[in-house]
Amino acid sequence: MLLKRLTEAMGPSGFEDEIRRLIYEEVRPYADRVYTDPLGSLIVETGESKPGPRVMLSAHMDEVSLMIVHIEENGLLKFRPIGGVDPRILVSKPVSVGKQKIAGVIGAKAIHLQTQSEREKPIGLDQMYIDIGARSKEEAEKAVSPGDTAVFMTEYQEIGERRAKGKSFDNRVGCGVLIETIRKTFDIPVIYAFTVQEEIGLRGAGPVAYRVNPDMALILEGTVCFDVIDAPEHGTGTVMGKGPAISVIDSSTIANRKMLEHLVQTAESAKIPCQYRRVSGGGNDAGRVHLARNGILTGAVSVPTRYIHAPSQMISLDDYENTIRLVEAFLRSVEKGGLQV
Amino acid sequence: MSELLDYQQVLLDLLETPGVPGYEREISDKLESLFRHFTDRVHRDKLGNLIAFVQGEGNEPRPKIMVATHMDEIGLIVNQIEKGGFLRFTQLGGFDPRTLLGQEVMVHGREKCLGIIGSKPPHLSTPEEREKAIPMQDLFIDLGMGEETVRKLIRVGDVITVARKSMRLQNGFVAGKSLDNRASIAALLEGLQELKRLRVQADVYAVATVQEEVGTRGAITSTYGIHPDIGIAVDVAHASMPGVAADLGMKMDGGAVIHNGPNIHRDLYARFRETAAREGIPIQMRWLQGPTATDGFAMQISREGIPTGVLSIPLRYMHTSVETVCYRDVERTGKLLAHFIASVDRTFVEGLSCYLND
Amino acid sequence: MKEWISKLAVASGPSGSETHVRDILAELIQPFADEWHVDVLGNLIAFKKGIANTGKTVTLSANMDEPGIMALHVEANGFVRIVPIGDISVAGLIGERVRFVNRVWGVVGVEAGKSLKDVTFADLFVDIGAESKADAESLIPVGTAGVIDRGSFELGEFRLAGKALSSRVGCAVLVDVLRKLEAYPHDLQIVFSVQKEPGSRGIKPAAFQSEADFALTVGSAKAGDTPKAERSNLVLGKGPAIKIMDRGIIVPPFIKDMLMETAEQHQLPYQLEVSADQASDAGAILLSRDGIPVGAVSVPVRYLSTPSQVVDLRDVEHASRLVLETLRRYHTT
Repeated sequence: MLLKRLTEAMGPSGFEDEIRRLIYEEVRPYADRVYTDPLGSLIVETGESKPGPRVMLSAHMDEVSLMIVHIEENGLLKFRPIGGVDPRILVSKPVSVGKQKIAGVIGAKAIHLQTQSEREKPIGLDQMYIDIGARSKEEAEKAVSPGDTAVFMTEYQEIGERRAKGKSFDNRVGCGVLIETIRKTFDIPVIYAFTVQEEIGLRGAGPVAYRVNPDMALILEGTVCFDVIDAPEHGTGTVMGKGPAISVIDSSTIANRKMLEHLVQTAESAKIPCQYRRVSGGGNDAGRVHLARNGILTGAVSVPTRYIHAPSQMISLDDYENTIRLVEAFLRSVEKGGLQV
Repeated sequence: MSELLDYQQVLLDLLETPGVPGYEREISDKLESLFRHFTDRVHRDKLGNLIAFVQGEGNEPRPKIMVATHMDEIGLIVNQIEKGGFLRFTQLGGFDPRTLLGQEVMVHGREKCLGIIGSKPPHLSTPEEREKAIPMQDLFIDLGMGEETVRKLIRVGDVITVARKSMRLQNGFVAGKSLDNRASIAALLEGLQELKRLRVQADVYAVATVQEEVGTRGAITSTYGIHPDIGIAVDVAHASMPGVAADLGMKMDGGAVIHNGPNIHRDLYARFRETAAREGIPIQMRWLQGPTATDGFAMQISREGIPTGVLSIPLRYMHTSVETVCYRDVERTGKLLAHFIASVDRTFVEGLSCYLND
Repeated sequence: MKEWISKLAVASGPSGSETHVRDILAELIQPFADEWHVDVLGNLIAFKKGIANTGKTVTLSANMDEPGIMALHVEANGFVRIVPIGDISVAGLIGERVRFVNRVWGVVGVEAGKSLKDVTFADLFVDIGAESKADAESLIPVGTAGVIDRGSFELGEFRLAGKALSSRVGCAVLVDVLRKLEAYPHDLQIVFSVQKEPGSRGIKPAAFQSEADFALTVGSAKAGDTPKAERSNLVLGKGPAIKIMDRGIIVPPFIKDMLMETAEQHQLPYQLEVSADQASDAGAILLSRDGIPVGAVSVPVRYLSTPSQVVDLRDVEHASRLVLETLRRYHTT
């Protein structure tokens, strides 16, 4: 199960080794050429000798995570987040620490021991520690060093009706879409980029776009979805089950009209459900890619993801599969000359 | 090329030299003559980055290593001349306005004019006023001259530095303004001096960058222009003092600081550690969860991406006029930089894009 | 120039949807440019070939976009929910008439029971006269951008009031310079950039492709000559401002000096701009590739973040002359 393997792999920003290795093994049979860049992004070329516009599909492979920064005398581990983590979701979650995947828990003072005023406030980062069962600093140091990263220990499972839960659907769904797509053959050059360091300021994608310099680019993402009870209709961002979400505006990009309309038309003529991403906050790698060099025709398509950046996220498998279908339909339309730069 | 210079003495002089972002000419001229002790090939690029090229001994193509040490310092700039000749100002880089009250400053107009940032005496302040920090826009500079004279000598856009003599403290500690980042420039000079004794394959581009304090602007263009195989930024890191978290405060006199995190290439980090161990140079670690606030921020994402490393010198009271470092940390950083550079060969550089081999 | 400015000011050009204003500019420059094209981002880039084969390129730039709104959601009853594009005031939108770029008009309303100081964009909606969701969606597809609909008018003898003057005066200056400039030794590129408001996005690729040896940006700066205005030394009618710095650039001192000397030599009035909170496209030009030396001339503007900005036409005329004379001076240096 591809999504299970992708989401259960570790890939903190800047330390994407495990996820990169996993993706590499998946894509190498289909690649003309695979290589990494100086930051660690994985670039896979296919059909480079074919005529037609060079299309880059791009998905970031890193995830929000934690870093151990200090070991206390009592063996507890002090940590800081890598990327945007809401401290309120951290308490009482299990984590895997370091390459050895040492099990740990994030604990906080029990409610019985808290004063009334303490109980009303969120528990801050400075009050939380990772406990791996070490009884002293010396014991902890045998298993963990400062600089080790930690990710949520969340099992991928299909639940409910065509839904899946797991960690890091942001953005392993994008990675999954690219891997499913590379197995198909296209009559144009397609470059698949798995970028690093998106979660800490879109840092990996700029150098990749500069290097690949494609004629057009499509960014695949997992994006905010809050179609839940109490959310106002115009505050949901996306709706689960309504298909891939096409970006219109976010904090890093105003969508190119031509690309936007082409994506919508492609979905309509292939009878694939799709929706607009109806929120202006957040940003993705498109922000760097569309401004690279002389400017690159860029679009972004996302799988709606509930509880994004939290330990347990949720997607609709129908949305995921429809995103894969939309990306194929998009590439087929470019093959036929349906989108010119 | 000349007798050995005492770079600690040089540093004390550099600290007193003005170099506000965008207006680095005076410090740049001083550095140019210092760089010329090591090479004849010194030039400035379009933003004013001062670039000294020291050719390696290896066969071509030689690895290109760029070392960025910013030479600018946080400063102020006149934005209005008020009635009575008082000056209003805004900042170039991040001052804490609370540290400016009562400072002596040099205004670089048609002539250099010494002035005082005025403050209301306690006798006239209400208890409520004394509870509040004064925002920068309400501060003013008094030059002790009439408005007419002020208008003759000073114009909107003239830059301002804090007037501060540099000092030696106990135990090899040094204090003054602009140790961020002249301390790293001293480390670079120490490093270049050390390099002369070593066999070096790589070409070195020693760059005194401009405009770091307003957003690593000099590093953006100089890295693009040089297009190095390896980029190293040398800057300062917060040193420990009461109230600073254990992982954020480096130890004064504790050695060169090696950064690691997403902004840093793992092989450069490892090579720094190996080099320090081999040469017996004391080091300490600074772990980062995101990009650094140094020239390394820009270097890493230049063009197709540049393998980047960051070294730092522990410093207390950052962005004030009494910044403090221990000169031994400066020497250690310079020595580590030199021996790192000497260890770089073609094979090492070629391996920096390979994340799939291990 | 007054006519052009008025025409350009009325045209819509919210960041990312600059088609309308771009079409007008393309028509205005066509007689004076050797060729022009629109790049991937939507920048309008015109060329004038140099006569001396100096191998040098000079770029003139002005942004043509303006802050606006974008429709992101249509509700069951046909009301359109919006998000801001660039710096646009929430409170300032309430009760305004807006014009979407597909020429659909609407009125901005606010959810009942909200006190004015707590209103956010999520509380606003546009009433386009639709009676149902389907009706509204056919009129305003999601992603359609719009601007506050305001005309421009003369204010006193020398002044002009209207929306988007802060960008359109720069565009008018560029057209005027191109029209007046005789044969020029260097290749000249005129860039009317898009998406300056959300953070100088359009100019980045435009500057990258230009590989210019020298560039000038014409824009605007906040005037400080109104009651209790924020501190600024700029005054309407005292001449264009030569930029010393803004949030994104410290202009290289030799370029600032060149502009000041040019102004003095031709007895053009000028002021000096030090603005800590505004930004311009100049910063992105300076940092393109290994650096492009760039200067900037700003027309002082009152009421900058409102749809009723005020400029002094004498400042615009002087800005044009200053740019023209600086170009002439540059080719002799």
